Amino acid sequence: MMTEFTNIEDSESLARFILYSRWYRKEDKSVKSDAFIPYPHNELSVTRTKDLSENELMEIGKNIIHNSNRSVKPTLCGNAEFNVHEVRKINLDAIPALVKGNPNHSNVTGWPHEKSKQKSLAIELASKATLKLYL
Amino acid sequence: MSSVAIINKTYLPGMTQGKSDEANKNYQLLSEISQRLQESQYFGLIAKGTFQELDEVFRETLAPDWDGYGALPVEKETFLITKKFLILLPLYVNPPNISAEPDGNLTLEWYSSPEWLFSLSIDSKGFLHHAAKFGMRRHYGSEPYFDSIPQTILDLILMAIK
Repeated sequence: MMTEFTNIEDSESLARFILYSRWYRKEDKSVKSDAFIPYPHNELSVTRTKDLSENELMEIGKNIIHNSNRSVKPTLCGNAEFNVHEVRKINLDAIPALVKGNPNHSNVTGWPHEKSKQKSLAIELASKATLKLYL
Repeated sequence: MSSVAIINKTYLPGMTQGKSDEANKNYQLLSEISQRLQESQYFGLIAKGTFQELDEVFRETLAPDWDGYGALPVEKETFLITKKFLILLPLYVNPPNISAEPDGNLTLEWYSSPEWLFSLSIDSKGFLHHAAKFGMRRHYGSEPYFDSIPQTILDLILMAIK
């Protein structure tokens, strides 16, 4: 189901797909800050989960892999879901950024340029995220 | 640089070779002790699988877009600097979890819980970018890495595993 291209509410959730198995800790199923470092753009690519079933969300993740140019495709391990309120609490923002194949695509914006500050904010987001594994 | 070469470059913080025979003997003895300790650390890390983990992460992140979001590949220089950093860790420090970030940095993480951890990124130019969360306290910063582990980094690692 498609989410309207509207402002993102504080109460909404965002999902970051985990496409690298070392981005979560197997011992307690928590996500690492590495998954939240914004690159190649100075924004973090996420998907609004509003109005999406778990299967629909997973299909979006599969599409990302399908569109990857790599000969060896990454593995869709799961997603890390977190609340928009937590994003804005640390002076970042979440804005809709529709892309082909994912009308729910959004960006977490407002990242500082210094790597260590990015890491500190990524640790905050990771500590509030809930990991859902598909594997 | 091979691992053996890294070990052989023994570093004694704050020590220089003395002028008298006795001072020279003491320096040599300390050099040997330091080298043995680094060798112990090196073989300890092999036994714990740390270098194998580092090799695996490096292999997994050699190709561009290894994360599906357009990540940069980890460069060989980053791999070598990280290996050297690991060898220089004191014996009493637990080996970290190793991973990579989309900008091509390798990461070393000492983790107790989502609220108590230290994460260190190493880039290809030898800069250490770090961030820690210890309950309500936050630390972050960047510094160049030369031939020894900066004391601030060591203190944060110890805090994370306390």
